[in-house]
Amino acid sequence: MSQRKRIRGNPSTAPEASQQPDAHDSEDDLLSQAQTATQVQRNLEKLTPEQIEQKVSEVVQFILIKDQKKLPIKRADIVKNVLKEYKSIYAEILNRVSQILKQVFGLKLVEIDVKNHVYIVVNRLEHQGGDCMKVEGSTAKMGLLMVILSLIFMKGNSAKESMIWEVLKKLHIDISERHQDLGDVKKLITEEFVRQKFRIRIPNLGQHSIKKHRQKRLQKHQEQQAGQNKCFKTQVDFQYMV
Amino acid sequence: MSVQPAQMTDSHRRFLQILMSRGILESSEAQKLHKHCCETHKVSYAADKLEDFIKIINNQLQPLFMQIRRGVSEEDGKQHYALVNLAETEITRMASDYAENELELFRKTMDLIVTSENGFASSTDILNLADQLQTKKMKKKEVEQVLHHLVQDSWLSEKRGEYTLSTRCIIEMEQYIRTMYEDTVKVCNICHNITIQVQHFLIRTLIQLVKFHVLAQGFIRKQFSPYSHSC
Repeated sequence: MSQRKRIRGNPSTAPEASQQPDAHDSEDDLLSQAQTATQVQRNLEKLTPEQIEQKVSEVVQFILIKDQKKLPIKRADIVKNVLKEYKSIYAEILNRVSQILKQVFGLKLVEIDVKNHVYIVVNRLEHQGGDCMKVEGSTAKMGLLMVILSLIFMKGNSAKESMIWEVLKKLHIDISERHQDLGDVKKLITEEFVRQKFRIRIPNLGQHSIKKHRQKRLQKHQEQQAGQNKCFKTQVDFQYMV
Repeated sequence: MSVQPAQMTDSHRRFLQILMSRGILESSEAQKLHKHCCETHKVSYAADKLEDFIKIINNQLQPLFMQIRRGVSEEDGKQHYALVNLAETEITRMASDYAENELELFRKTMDLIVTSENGFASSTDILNLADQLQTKKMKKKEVEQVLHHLVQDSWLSEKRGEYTLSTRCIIEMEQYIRTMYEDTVKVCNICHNITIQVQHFLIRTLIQLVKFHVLAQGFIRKQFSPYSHSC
């Protein structure tokens, strides 16, 4: 996995005012307002260390499970499914979880959406040749994603759908047919990748734009693995003349 | 003599990440991975220090109710390492990639396997379970697909149309099997491990005993022979 730019959110800052606050926003307000240092300390003192450790380990497992499914992790889900009555110490628990992910698993928790408090997990360790990670269906999907993201990036962060389908056809991936490894390719690209926040789709224009942080990720990835990616990009340029 | 790092380093983290991705590693693969991780991060490496290496990781995993556990394959007697979850919570239940009725099918399949004489359940018997599901019935075709996924994900092994529990499944679910099938599961009186494929296990144990006997005989002959090497 490549490094992503960390977008820091300060949980103790009051959220931006919105014209139509809803239940979700008011719960966020409560979470934010409760996170001042003194209040967190006071709430922590009401719990035993074992209770806090239990919750920390549950949040770690929750995040690892979500990451395994390549889904972004929402703060609201963490609170609803794991923390529940412990939400008043959310900030402290998340701090400890970040530390554990870093120290034990070599992973980094990155907030990609400060307003809605959505996180992803990024690998701090660079991939090495002899790693022998499991090769499975998702490997093929990542390969496809890499091709599409490169294409969008080369077209200045925006590429027409028709162009993407044309390029894929040259790679012998026909979106009208079910692919042996990728399944329904059109659904994969327009739904699954979008849901996983890899790309956003502008309706009615048939365009696919790359989200800013994903662009940075791709840039950083290419910087870090300059040799490999230059070669990849050159081959794509040469072969498909996009 | 090289000194192993006592603290968790990136070499341990890389090992853990790869084990998480693979689910289970055979002992020889774990050895190679240990070497690769130590060389990548330039930490001291010794081939016979894999257990110590894993112990450092387990010390960190213990508060998270996780553990790298070693088990023996019933197929070939080789050692394997798997990352197991020791906690049964709502969170871990969410980890399942399977729907509720698929999990029910898996549990019923496990019932068949553990209670059978030879540790195997035929595909016909498993297909017949489709109608007995309480959560949601399944068509025979769907059962076949679920079985295929279970084998691909290394929860079951398949041999000539018969299914048994995989090594990964036995390592990860050992405690569950001992608890749920306390009266039924067969436990070896020598090594105290649970045994599913009893016949395989017996044959392997007998082979080990014969080897031991031959070695012992050889030892005794050497010790008490008038033609010992020291003469």
